[in-house]
Amino acid sequence: MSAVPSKQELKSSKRQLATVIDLSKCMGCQTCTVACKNLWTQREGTEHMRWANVSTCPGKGYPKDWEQKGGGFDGEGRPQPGRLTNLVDCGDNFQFNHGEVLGAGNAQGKKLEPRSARGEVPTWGYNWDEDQGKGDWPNPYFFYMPRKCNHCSNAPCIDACSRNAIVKRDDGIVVIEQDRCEGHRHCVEACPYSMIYFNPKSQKSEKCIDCFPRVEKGVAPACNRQCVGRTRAYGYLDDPESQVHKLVKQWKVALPLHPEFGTEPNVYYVPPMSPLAYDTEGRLTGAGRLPIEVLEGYFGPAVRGALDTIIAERNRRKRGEPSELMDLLISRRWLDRFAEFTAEPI
Amino acid sequence: MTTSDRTCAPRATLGRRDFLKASGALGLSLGLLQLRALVPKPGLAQPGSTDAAVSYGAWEDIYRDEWKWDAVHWGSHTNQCAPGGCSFRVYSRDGMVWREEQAARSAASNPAYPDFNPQGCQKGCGFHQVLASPERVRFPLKRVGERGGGKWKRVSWDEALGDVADAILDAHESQGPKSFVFDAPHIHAGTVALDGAMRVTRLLGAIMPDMNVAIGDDMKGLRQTFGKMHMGYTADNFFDAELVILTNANPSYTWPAIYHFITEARYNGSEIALLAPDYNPTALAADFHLPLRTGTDAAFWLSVCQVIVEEGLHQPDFVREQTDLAILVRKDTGRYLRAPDLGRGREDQLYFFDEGSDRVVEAPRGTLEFDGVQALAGSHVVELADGSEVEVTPGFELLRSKLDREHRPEQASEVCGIHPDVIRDFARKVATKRTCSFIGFTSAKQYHGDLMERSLLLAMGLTGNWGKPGTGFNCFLIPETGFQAVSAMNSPLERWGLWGLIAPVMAKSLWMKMKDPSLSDEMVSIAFQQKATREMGSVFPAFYMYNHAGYDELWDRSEWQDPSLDRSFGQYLKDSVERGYWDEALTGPGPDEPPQVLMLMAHNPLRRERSAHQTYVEKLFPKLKMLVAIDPRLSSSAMYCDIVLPAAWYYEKTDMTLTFGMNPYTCLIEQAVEPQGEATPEWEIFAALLKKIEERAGARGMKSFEDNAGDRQQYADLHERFTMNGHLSNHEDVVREFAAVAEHTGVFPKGFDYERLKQEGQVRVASIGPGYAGHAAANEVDPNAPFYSLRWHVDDKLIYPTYARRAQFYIDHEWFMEAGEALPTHKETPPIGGIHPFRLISGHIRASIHCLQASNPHFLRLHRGQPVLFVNDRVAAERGIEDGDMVRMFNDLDEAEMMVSTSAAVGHDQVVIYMWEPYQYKNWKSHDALLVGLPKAIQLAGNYGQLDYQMTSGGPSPSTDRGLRVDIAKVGGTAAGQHAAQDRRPV
Repeated sequence: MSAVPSKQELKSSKRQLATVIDLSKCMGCQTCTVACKNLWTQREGTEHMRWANVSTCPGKGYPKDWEQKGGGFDGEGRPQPGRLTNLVDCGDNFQFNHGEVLGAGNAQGKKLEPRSARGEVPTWGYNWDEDQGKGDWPNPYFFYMPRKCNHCSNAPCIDACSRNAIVKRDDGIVVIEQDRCEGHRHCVEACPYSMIYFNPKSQKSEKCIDCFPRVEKGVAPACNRQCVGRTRAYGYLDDPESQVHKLVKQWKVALPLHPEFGTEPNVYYVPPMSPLAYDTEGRLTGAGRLPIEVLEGYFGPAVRGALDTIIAERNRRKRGEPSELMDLLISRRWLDRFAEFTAEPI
Repeated sequence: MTTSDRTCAPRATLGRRDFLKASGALGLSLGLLQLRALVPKPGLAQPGSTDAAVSYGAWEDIYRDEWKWDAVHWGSHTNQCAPGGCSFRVYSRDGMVWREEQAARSAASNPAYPDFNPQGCQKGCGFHQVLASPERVRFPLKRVGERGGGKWKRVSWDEALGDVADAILDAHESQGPKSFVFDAPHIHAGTVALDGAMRVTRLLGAIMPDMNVAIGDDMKGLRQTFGKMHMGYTADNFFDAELVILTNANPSYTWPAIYHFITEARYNGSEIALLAPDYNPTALAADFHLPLRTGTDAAFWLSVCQVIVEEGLHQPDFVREQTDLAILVRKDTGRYLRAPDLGRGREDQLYFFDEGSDRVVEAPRGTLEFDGVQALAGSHVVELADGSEVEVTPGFELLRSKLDREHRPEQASEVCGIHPDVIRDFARKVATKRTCSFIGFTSAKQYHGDLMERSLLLAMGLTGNWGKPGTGFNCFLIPETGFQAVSAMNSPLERWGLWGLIAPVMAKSLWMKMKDPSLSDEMVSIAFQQKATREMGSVFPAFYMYNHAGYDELWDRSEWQDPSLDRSFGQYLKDSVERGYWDEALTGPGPDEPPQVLMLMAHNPLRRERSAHQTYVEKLFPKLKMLVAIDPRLSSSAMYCDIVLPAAWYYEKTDMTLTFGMNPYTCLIEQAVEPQGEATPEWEIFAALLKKIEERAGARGMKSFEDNAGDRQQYADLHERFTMNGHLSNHEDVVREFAAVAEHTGVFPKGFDYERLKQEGQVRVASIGPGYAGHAAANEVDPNAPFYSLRWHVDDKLIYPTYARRAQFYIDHEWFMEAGEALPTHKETPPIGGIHPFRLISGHIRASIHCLQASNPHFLRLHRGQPVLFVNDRVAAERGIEDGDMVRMFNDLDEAEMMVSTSAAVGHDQVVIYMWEPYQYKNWKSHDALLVGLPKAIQLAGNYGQLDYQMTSGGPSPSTDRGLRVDIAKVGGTAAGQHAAQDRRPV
């Protein structure tokens, strides 16, 4: 591109990379968070950012209360601003007092404890509501929600940027051009998923880059490749051989989060199964304990069909019959998850 | 001011400090809510003046440059998280490790199974963060002022080692070599370091309280039943199971690297059951969450057995052959019918009633094969040697009657809280499906964990669920990858060093088999392990802690005793020695020989030993002339030391992982960077220390001392003997020797040496080993199939190393009889620490292996950054406790303060806390202060086959704590809430 591109040009791409995350396999271990953080957000000004993150659902999520934050589009398809996230919403960057505990001669008088990067006793931070969940004993429920930038096909951040600094690459990865960004944070406001962060050091906005320096070398993004639960598939959505295509397009068991936002996300979720619920007498019912309404709240009405398909196919395996879908979700050969992005990261 | 000004101008001056200050305040949002008008419409961009020739993409090198490195090495971690050792690539830049990523080169057993990739969790993927973390020790430190005062001065290595050497020699002079205690070093330090510690202990005639028993990772029920606990399977064995039972475990937190085998088995059609008192995060992978009340597992399992037997779902042939339940028991005494009762033969010759010949016949002692049909029912009259008659009956008959009498599902339901219908359905599944159980180490930390395990194993035995693919249970399956041998070898492999170990075993084997030809090689290997245990200086922790660390005051408190026993723990200790169950080598040093020098290596007793605040700190430490830590980090315990020696950490030294069965691969850890500061690899610390002891002993004119084998040893050649005359002078030498031994013994594939390990970074073991570990696992390794244990017993009819030579469910030891535990039974957890409304549930935190990362800022930022106590949200509300409040958790012994996290996933009568570093609590008093750890006295029983201790297994652990009762109160709150809750929840 040479001249000033149109928003439509900035939002279009030749192909679209996508990630599928299987919530029945996610254990909330934060390996994706750690993998991402080590790579991209240890620089000064990025410490509070978790481009890859996991929260317990139902819960306040990450950033805090992001689902109530607004953003996205208005009725006429124009990007609308939401509430800005702040340091604490974004998980803070706790500071610790090792010095006064370990070497200042305080004996046992001081304990190691966190302080907000703002210096206060923290009342919120990253993953603060871990493992809390909802429901009444003996039927509590929760699941984990790993997130990152959705690299939306209809990305409001691109529309919102007054600097035309946000662009979808030819591979579908949405990036914020650091040279062009001036830190106005329209994108931070506009992203209804709150996956854009402000870097107070560089005075620019930053977000998940889908590990494009890896992807360019044929290596899957760190959050996907390093997921120890093998929850994630990656590849081009139009590649009929890719697991992402098969799970999203063919089997329709992988769904976008909050499809009603209208941004056409490219991170898809296989909805979670859950242990059978107990009735009031303590007998097992035949139904999973995760209320379907809760899942609908995240993934829309299509979640019913997706779960039905998964359970029906699993029942085939229980009867000893073959199931292509179960083989896909198992993915015995781990590298099969990543289509052509199977190069080793060396 | 224009809209545009309002947008841009403040940004230009909003620095980092301002962001931190302002964020959270509404200030940061100023101006942005009115920006709608500014948001450009599609196609109508109004970029700045420099946009004439836009070149998108050129800036991307900013991020591409982040993704660059100078060198990549193989790495792993010897954290005992057991799948243990995931192969990593370690990336360094400018002499620092910048990141690591799973190597992910672990192939599947065969294409029908999931492979082991990427294998490596958040702890491994972020490990490099601890290398330069603020709790790291970089230089030798000597305390200034009071012990535990928290003030240090940096000293030279020479000064530090000189002080330690002098203290050890002072101890030798004043009390003898056993007053130098190497207190249970942990594999955290590394495989080479642990090897070195065991070598130092042996060479100096020191003592080492058994680490595995001390931490309570000793599955007593497994040992009581099978005579061993070193059994298991590779994680892909789940894939062959139709029912996977996860119990006393939370692998979501503790074994992320193998968790996918559970979720994938589920997709493959296996049903997954989680038995856990709380809705722990592993429940997400389960079809059934069975919320057994804490400590009631045995009641549940025995009712499962009742259903199986009542409905005739058991497998009689498996029970007859593999278990002792066909062996005849005298109805008058409740003891086995033995040969001397009939006036002939050995005391351990037992009997069946053969339905074929219709008579009482000897149960073969050398094989499980039996030419006949062992009766499982009925009773028979036998004439004894004295002419009297006695009725005998198979153990199965006694079991059936006990099950029907005491363990019907309706009875169990009252105890464990699971509906009888659920129990019955579950029992039918266990009986009709290929069932694999996964027992976590919480079981080994229950006071009656042995009864829980025995009850579970009974259900597995009744249904034939071991020794076959997709069945079994998992504990320490540890292939002999050279580590075990090298710790004891006196010369290198190439100089017949291994023969030096094997020759005595062969001699002992010949001698033992002459006395009893029915002995199996496995039983000989155990006898040899028991001998080696003594020579290595491994002592039994319960005696050591009772005699020296002040635990007598906790363990003898009558109000906390097990009500089914009539004497105090101390009395049992005394009795057990008088009866000859334990000899002096294991029970020493006696109360009159207090320790003088205590060395800690990757060992944090303040966290690990229950109630250490009252015992180690107040009773043991004051006796010590020297307390020294070898550690890469300042743990709470290191903070009490006189000297802290800085150890190198993973990536700073060569090492090799210790393989645990779940993961069949052994990994190389290369030195990727120089150690921080003056940190030094442990092997080199030991070598230097021994050199220093030689030097100081020479100056004092000290010549020799007696070691644990009773031999005189010279001070002058300690260093030479430690290093095998320089053959093992550093970590790389030692790892090369491990690999050579492993290859020589067939544990590594033929030809797979250290050079090959450096090329490939890991190796899949080809055998569990020719020694004890291989016998215990009792199966060959098939490189193209999942591994499972006990096949030699089931297919080849090899005897089990138990008193009855079979999987033994009836233990007629006098103490078991007295306690009513001959058959597995259910007992309530004793009221240790007093009676309070909540049952305490504990385990490992998610973001750390033990405390290694618990106090590291990077890992602390993955959660609330401090210890939290999970309390049921409704119960908390009733007590006026809100999420985020600080509470006191207390029992009759002590109290600790922590933050509450209110959760729906916790039952109404439970509280859950995971393990943290004591210095993360007020006054450094963690919840561990409340735990007591009372060992189960009857496990001191001995002179009975499998009950006799060997290093790592047997005897009671001083670490029982699950299900203890505690109470909580809001800090600064009133006591009213407490009383209300006590009224509400009868105990």
